[in-house]
Amino acid sequence: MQISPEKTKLIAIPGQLTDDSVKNFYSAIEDFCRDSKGRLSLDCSGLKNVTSNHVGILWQARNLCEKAGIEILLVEVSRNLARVLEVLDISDLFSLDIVDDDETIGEFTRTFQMSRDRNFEMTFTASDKDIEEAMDRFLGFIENFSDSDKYLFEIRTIFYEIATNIRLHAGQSADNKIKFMAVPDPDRALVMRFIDSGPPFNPASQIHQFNPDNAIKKKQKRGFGLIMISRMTDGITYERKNGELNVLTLEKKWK
Amino acid sequence: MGTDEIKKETINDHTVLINPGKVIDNNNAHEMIDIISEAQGNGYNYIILDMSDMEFISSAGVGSILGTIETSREAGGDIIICNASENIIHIFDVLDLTDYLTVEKDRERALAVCLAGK
Repeated sequence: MQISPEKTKLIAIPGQLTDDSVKNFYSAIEDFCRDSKGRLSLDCSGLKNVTSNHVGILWQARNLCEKAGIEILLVEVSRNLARVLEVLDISDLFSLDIVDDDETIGEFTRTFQMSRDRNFEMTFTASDKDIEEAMDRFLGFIENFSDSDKYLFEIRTIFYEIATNIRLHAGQSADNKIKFMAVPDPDRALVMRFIDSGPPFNPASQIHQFNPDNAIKKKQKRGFGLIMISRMTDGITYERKNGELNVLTLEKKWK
Repeated sequence: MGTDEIKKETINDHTVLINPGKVIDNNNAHEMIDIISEAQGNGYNYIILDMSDMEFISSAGVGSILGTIETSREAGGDIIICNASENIIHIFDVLDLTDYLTVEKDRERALAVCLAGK
């Protein structure tokens, strides 16, 4: 397995700033600064409306990381946030991965970016063609980190099942875009995140006990995807963000 | 995912051989179910699924097999999987299905199971 020598971590900047969310955010950064070296990715996808308070916590995060010698990469940066940082003349203090959110993404006009620190991001629609193309691109990326045929096959299966599950629950149209990002932490695991704007749906809550004998006797034809995903991954978390986004994060240890 | 045509071949009065092609996923799982169900309805108790070309099977593909096996067994037959790659077998392993499926190494052994049970 080829691995990156750097450690990476993804921390989400809270969209809604409360005492707890800000405290948890700083706490996660302090933990990372204390325990790690390398780069820290901050997920800005929750910053729909950027306020001075958001800029304030970004600034504070940057100061904490600078003291620890850690570089910050801002991912899922909207055009709006990028403009705010430019106006304040602080955009050069961060590495930015800007999401082209003004662009209409239909025929996989993909926002495919392989970011500077080996993270992976793309946006695609839930059509069969786009899912297949997105899956192939992602697998091409993961081949840089694992040469295990079984691992890659499981990743393909997980990706396919999640993407088609999102399509099932969100419906397939040109407006249904899936944002996908992955952070390969070479010391531990691959972390994958799917973000969609469909109705609230928590796959993690739908995973039930599975009895193969019963399934066969009952001639069950559906409902195996989430079981497969849960058994092929080492962690699944779901969050409904800002009341409008499903954020599903999966972790899979390297094999 | 590019799916091939599902091929069906009658072996004898009791047995049909089906080659699903490279992929069974959401796009062709229903077709698999239709083809298997039609064979079962026409009195073929044994169905051999030759997976020699198969590269990927989704949960819907697994469902197309699991959901139809019992009908063959109720009729005194079975659905027999053969020539499956390690990756396809791994999917069955993940779901703890290996004890519940009839999996043979190749077509000849699958046929032998059909002839023995006829």
